[in-house]
Amino acid sequence: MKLFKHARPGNSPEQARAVRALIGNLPVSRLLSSWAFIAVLAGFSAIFVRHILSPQGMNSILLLTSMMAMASLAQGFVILVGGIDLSIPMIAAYSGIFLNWFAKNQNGPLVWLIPVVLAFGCAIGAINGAGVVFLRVHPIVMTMGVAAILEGAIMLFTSGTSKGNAPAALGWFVAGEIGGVYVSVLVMILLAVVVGLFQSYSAFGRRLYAVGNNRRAAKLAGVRVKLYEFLAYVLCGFFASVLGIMITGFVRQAYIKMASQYLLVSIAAVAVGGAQMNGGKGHHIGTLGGAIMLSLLSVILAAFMMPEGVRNIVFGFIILVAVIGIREKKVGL
Amino acid sequence: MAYNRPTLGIVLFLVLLVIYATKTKNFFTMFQLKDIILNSTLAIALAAVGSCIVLISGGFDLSAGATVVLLNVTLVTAYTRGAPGGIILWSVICLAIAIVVGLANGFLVAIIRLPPIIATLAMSFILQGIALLVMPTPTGMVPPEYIDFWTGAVGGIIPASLIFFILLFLFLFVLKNSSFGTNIYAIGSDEYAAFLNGIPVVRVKLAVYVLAAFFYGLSGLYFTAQMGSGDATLASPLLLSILAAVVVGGISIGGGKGAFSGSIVGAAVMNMTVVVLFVVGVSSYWGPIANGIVLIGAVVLTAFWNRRATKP
Repeated sequence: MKLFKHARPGNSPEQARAVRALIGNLPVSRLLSSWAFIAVLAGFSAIFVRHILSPQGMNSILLLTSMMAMASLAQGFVILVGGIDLSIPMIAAYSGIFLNWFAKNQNGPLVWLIPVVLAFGCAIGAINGAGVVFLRVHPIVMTMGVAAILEGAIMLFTSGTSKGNAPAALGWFVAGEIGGVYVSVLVMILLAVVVGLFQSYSAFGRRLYAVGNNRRAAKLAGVRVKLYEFLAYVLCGFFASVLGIMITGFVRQAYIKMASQYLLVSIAAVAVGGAQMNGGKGHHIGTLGGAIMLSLLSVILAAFMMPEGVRNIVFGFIILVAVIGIREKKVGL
Repeated sequence: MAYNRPTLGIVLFLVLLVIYATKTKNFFTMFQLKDIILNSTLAIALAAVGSCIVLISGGFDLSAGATVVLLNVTLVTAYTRGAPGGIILWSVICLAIAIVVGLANGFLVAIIRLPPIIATLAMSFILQGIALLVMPTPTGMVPPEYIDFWTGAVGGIIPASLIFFILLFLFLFVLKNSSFGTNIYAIGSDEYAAFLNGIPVVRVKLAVYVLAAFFYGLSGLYFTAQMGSGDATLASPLLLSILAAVVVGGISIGGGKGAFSGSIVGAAVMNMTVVVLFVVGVSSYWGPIANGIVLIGAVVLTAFWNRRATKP
């Protein structure tokens, strides 16, 4: 195993160090694929569906991207520590419905409603995390079970109907514009940068990687593995909640199925972004690239009037291709 | 070898059965036994058997629900649109489709060596997409003879589903005592050790996924007969039910533990849960909640049970 990854026969140590300083800890080769895909898709749409690339079109795409990015960010944390979260759509739906229900169309309650909703997201994430980490339930089973319970709870809560519209301020927050760019897009970019930096350069972020990469080694190195795994789920719940708020703000309504398409998207974006599905490798920049690529793909498919089923098929295939391309070659078996 | 006995499942089933019996009159009529208990269980039980074979071998199959749904919509669409061949031919075709899906899954997991969770998850999305293309909105119908074949009673007395259950149990018994069955457990317990012992891991894994898909196919056929129409959106709730059934039956998600027949017991329990809820008068919204709680609860309990039992 090379201790100094960029040391090559031709390079001098100074060159290797320089390269390292430039790209830091980013696993560039893993991230390239999604951005390469984006370039290809952009080229394709420039030729065939030019109107997509207009400022208006781009804005719409980026809006979709910011929502996909939020879902993917959430999923990314959990996949990083070797799990998966199938309850993201339900957490988002719950957040949106809760918000709408209590806001009753006014802006005022938002001040306390939004923190409460976000806290709820964290709480559900905490339940997921508790089940997976402390009760040793498999993430698929746990998050699936929690999603089912949430679904029933929502139905009981709303008696099947969805009341109320989202307050105007929320609408502005998502789809209002600053300098011609949607507010939520700016927020997404900001969040992506912050989270990305956090991921690579903070102790917290590094430890998350350690936990995902090799649990035992991390534990022996003194990392509180259980705590970090748990926190990954909490973070996931938080961002799922943000997603719910965003969707509600944009669509101005909230209903149970409003985020259901984002589950597939979140997993696909993380996979395409270069993360290893067993955890330990992957970066939010890659995930972001994955989200951009998938949103672009969605818009292109829509422009060609493809029915929803095609989207599912294409995304499923993309996940397969991405995972096949990135898998590590095993020795022996 | 098969450590997790489905005892928890059997106990639960009996408890629920008693509750149900006390709440209804006419408990021992054919209708009760056949429709409420046997018929509703069989669809999930078939799929659960398929899933549990995969699970015991150490894999995972998230494409179960989607496969059943795909078969369902394909069969219904073929019949409703008057495709040539009649329902029998198309049933066979659907089974063939199921086997192809199983081959694809097995190929991805056994030969390309993808993690089963991701492979079958991606596969489930693809299958779901195809199902949506075939039937965008729930609709369609199937001939009454078809429904009767699967859900009716032979000679008016013996429920067809009872016959199927007996066949199923027989099959599982044979499987358990065959070398193939032993191989499945071996791979599930420790794949590398199984490999070193000369077990043809790749072939067994491939066979496992194909066999599972075959059962999903049967389940899809039965499910179609039960529902009488097609619905492409049922993949997720189905998967939840199937997984819950397998887990309640005492099968460990990690592989290598559990009895094949546990899946049938688990399916029966899940079905009884819904029935009891209905009979007790609880709102149907509690259905998914109950599913979720049972799912998580069963896993926790089984793990707890195991840990205690393995302490010296």
